[in-house]
Amino acid sequence: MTFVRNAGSDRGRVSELLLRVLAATALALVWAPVAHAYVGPGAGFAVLSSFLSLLVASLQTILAFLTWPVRQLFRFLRRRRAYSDARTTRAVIIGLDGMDPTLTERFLKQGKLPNLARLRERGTFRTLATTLPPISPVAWSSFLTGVNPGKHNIYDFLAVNRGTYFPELSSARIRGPKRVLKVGRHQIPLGRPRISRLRKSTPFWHYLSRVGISCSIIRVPITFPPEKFPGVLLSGMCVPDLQGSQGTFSFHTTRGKARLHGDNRVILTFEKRGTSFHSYIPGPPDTSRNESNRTLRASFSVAPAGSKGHATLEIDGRRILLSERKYSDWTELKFRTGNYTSVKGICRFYLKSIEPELELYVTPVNIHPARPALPISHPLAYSVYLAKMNGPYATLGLAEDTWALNDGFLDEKAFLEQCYLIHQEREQMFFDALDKTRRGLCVCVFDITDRVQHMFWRELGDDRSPVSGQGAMTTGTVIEELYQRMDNLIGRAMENMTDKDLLLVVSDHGFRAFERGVNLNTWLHQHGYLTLKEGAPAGDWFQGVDWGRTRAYFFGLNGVFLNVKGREGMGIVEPGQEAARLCAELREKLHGLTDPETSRTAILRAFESTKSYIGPYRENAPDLIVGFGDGYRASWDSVQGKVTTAVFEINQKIWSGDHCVDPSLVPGILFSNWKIGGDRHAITDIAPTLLHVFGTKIPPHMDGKPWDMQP
Amino acid sequence: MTRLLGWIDKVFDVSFWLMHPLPPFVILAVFSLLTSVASLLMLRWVSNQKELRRAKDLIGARILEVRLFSDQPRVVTQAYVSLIGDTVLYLRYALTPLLVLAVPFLLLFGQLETRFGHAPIEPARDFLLSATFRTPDSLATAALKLPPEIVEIAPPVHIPFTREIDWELLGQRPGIYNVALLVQGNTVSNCVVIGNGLAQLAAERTRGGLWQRIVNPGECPLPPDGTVDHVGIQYPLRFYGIGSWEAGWLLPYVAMILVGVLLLKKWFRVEV
Repeated sequence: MTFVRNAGSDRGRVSELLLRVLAATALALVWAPVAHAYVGPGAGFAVLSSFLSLLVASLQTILAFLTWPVRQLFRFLRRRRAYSDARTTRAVIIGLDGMDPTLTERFLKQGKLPNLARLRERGTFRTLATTLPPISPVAWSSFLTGVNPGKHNIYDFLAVNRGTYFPELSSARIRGPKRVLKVGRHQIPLGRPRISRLRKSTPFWHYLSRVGISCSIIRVPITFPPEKFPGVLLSGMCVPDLQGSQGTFSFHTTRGKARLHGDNRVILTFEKRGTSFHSYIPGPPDTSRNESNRTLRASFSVAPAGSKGHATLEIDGRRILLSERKYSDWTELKFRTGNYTSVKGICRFYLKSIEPELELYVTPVNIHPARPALPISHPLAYSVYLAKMNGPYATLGLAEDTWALNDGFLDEKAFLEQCYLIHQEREQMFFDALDKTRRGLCVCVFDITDRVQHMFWRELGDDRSPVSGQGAMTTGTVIEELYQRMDNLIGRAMENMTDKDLLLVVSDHGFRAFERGVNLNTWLHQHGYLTLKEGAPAGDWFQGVDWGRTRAYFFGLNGVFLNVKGREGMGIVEPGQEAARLCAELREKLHGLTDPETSRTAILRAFESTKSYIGPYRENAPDLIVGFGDGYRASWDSVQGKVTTAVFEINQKIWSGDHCVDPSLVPGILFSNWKIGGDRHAITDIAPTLLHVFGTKIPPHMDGKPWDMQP
Repeated sequence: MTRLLGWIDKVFDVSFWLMHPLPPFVILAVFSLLTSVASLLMLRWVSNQKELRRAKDLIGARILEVRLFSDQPRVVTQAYVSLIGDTVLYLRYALTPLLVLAVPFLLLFGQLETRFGHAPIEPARDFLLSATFRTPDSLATAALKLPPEIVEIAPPVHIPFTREIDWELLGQRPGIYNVALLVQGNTVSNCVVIGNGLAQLAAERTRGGLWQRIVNPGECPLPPDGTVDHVGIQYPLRFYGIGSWEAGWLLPYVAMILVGVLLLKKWFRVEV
């Protein structure tokens, strides 16, 4: 290891050694004896093929190097040609999930939305027909593909597993790696988790980018898992949290002895050790062990800090000072598996109270954008780029935690603060993408409008809900301020655009009050279509249902399914005529269903999927889609697949606005800086319109029709 | 200051004495590790970690920008320009810890150079001792007073042009010896180490003050008003290596520090 020598002698020794090696090699070659062995043709092929591989690789490298200028020139020409038939070189679409045309009109009249008013004067303001059913995943899927749900296969947030009657995510399926190496109790995954995209049909930006138009797509719902295309995309709604759920928060308290692992929440009691309180954040399932249901954990402790209203949180060797009723910054969490590997996520802490009880809310653990455990962007580096540029950000599809507010774990102020923190991140991403896309397409969807309206609609005070006008923040201006902030956002976007650029501001649906819930499973039970087992208690997800004597069931937010033989796991309805007859019968009975307590129409219309959808995936749709009336929606128990005693019930939850009603009641908005002709505009028209604007051929399978537009 | 330097000498003497059974490369590795740890602690203490991380992230973002938006020349050009700006920003935040670290590193490098840079003269091996004088007339009167274990094996070579005399000597037995240089009634004592292993060696000795004392802590600097300008002892260079690769002490030392810092930075939660 250590050599001591006079500096000048080094070179001489190396040369001497080299000479000796060369001489020995030459001697060995000259005096090599004849090898008496059979050398088959295989050896010849091996030598030849290795040589050829090397030759081809070298030639390819040289060729790639030599053709680089030509390729760049070709790309440049292709980019120029891409816009040769385009009516604009830049289109920007701002999606405001759930922005309501009636409210917009009201605020416009009051002069509270100056930028949208400017758009209306110079261009267009119309209502935008939504999809059947008017639910975000369905509507945004139609927005991005230009087709009806029968072609894109999304009918709700959840889809029913026809075999087990259990719910599954409708847009994506995440499974473990195909192969694992089992060593005793341990297992090593051989490969990545398998993620299947269940949304079908092709997003319109794929057609644009194929001809050389740059596309930046930010947080458009139902783009997870991200598809490969020659642009950049960050997935939106339906991106899971690190647990694989659509958002599971945890709440830690010193109150009582709570320990609950629910659908969207985990409630845990702090364990007191000395002066500090200990708990853990549940993480993803531990795939390194054979044991089922074992989840990884990130343990932490909280201790009151010296100053009043503060506490110190210690996690993974780091100390974070928490202030009462304030969110922490995004904190990196590391979940260590048994294989000495780790999965990283991020979360925010919200110290709800220190005294008399210590209460801490932890957001769902988001996939770390800089070290994503699952692909959340295309290219993978795009989410990393955004994290490096603007800092960590919420990656979860439904990042605004409506469940925590709905169930009282967060108050309204905390919920709003969370929403606006997330919105701020989205704005940064959007303006970064807008700046990058001086030519091409930039699409960004903001979710805050939907989440806040769901939770604060009652503040408008024009519904008959028992929680109408209630709440700690009864100023009644939350939604108004929200609309004004969106108007401001649009104003800033317009400052970054020229008159030649096309700007579309769209929403996927509007909003209505959610005053009364309808339990259609109870209705089906009372009318003899759904039967419960004798003496068995009815529970979530059809617990207690006697499938052998059930002809129809309600699943999700709008779907009635027939229990068809051969299609459902325990189906009894014969497919064909019997099923068609039953479907028509149910449609007749549900059409115009009246609430006896209020004498109002609870269901406006019921639609048969065979008549409402066209496309190869129509068979996956519910057999009937229910269009609830104004003020009605599927009840909370009904959505959970539970049969109760009453068909109609008052909505007692803070969640007081909704859109899962008849599509005619909740159209979306359409603003543009260009004049748009025609009198009926639908969300499915946007994809073909954009292709038309950029001079790209519209695929014949698209259901939407391009609009007549003038700059 | 001299007292402080004396203490530092002692600390290093004790450290080397404790590790003397270990091979020199291992001792160098131990010092690299200690330096890595000390550097990380110092970095955490004196640097603006938040801004340093932000600057690094921005650099990373610009690099990704070039890759992600390669079809947009305007974005790529802007990314390159910003990359330069962000690199300057990073250097700005890295400058403070660099300046703070410069002082202890200087002291450390001086100490390590005198111990790892050269090897003692092997017994029965000839070596040169050269001296340069302020005035040419000193050449005629200069003489060496040698201990019995070191012998002069050739007449000294006088080079009037450079005012230098070279003596060819031979150490007979391992040990630390004092070789006195007598010039015009003055005596300049020099330490000569014969043997193997690690020892503090002064291969070069010149006139100067504190600076010389720091960069060459093996011996005190020559008196500023004396007749001798420079004394050099031709200790052989020491090389370190793995397999066929070898180099002076500085390269493996710096490489090991870098590796150590990169491996330990997460453990110490330090942004570099």
